[in-house]
Amino acid sequence: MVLRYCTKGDIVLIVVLFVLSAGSTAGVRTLFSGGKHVVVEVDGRHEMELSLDRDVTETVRGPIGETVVTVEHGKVRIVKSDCPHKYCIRMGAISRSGEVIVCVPNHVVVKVTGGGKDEFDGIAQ
Amino acid sequence: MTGGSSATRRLVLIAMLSAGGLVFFVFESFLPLLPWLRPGLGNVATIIALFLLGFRDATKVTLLRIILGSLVLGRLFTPVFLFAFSGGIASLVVMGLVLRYLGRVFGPVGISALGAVAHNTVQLGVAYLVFVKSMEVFIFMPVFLLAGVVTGALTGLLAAVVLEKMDKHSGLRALTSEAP
Repeated sequence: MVLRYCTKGDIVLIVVLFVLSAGSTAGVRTLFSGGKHVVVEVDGRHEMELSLDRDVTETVRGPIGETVVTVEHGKVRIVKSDCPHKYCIRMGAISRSGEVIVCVPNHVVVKVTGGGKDEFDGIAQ
Repeated sequence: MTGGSSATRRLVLIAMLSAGGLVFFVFESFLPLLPWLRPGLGNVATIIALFLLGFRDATKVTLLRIILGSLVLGRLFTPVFLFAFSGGIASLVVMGLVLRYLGRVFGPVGISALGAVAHNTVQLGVAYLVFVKSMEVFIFMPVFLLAGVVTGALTGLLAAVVLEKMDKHSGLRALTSEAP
């Protein structure tokens, strides 16, 4: 009944567009959710960028010594630091977009970016 | 309905289609749906105009509908108007091109689906360029595409039915038969 008003081209086109919109769901997912990154800053300078998907350990140098950053199981934490109180190590592991670990004495900031919307609506600075 | 110059017949059809599309456009704005996922029933008028009168007059029908509709709703030259305007023009251009070059392959249903997809894609683009300025708006792409296919096919079907009825109606056929 309805098909009477459709040409063959119409039917093929609509099927193709359906497939395309389903396919774009997958595309959007890989583009926006997989791509979480960790940005490490020292003294406000962009030092390095790591992917949360790959386990890796990196060392950065700050004013008072070395800080070791480890990505493991999709989370990032500071495992070793030359700072006196080790608060940065005790802050534990973070993984959500917008979360931050700071080591004040060594001027190191580790933050998670990307992956779509931040966990926070906004951050006052 | 016979007699009268071809130009007058054209004028009558443009006026009728603009008025009809305008009613749909305004009516639709009262539907308690998601603000961005309306069926686009006003586009039925554009499709009919494309098939019966050609691109030039379909442009008139589309512009009249969007501008007058926005005026009626008090949205003229607001951000919402920008969405309706850019989407309407994109849809019109895509449908016009498809009808011109692929008119043998696709009927009203396919042309309308493509137009609706263009409409939604351009609206997302405008949202990105003018309002959000963050790539994250394209997360909505799949939803907008799917909505475009569904609503576009349905309004296209409606246009196809109306076109057929118009063809069978003797008075209306007299109105359109001489329009190239």
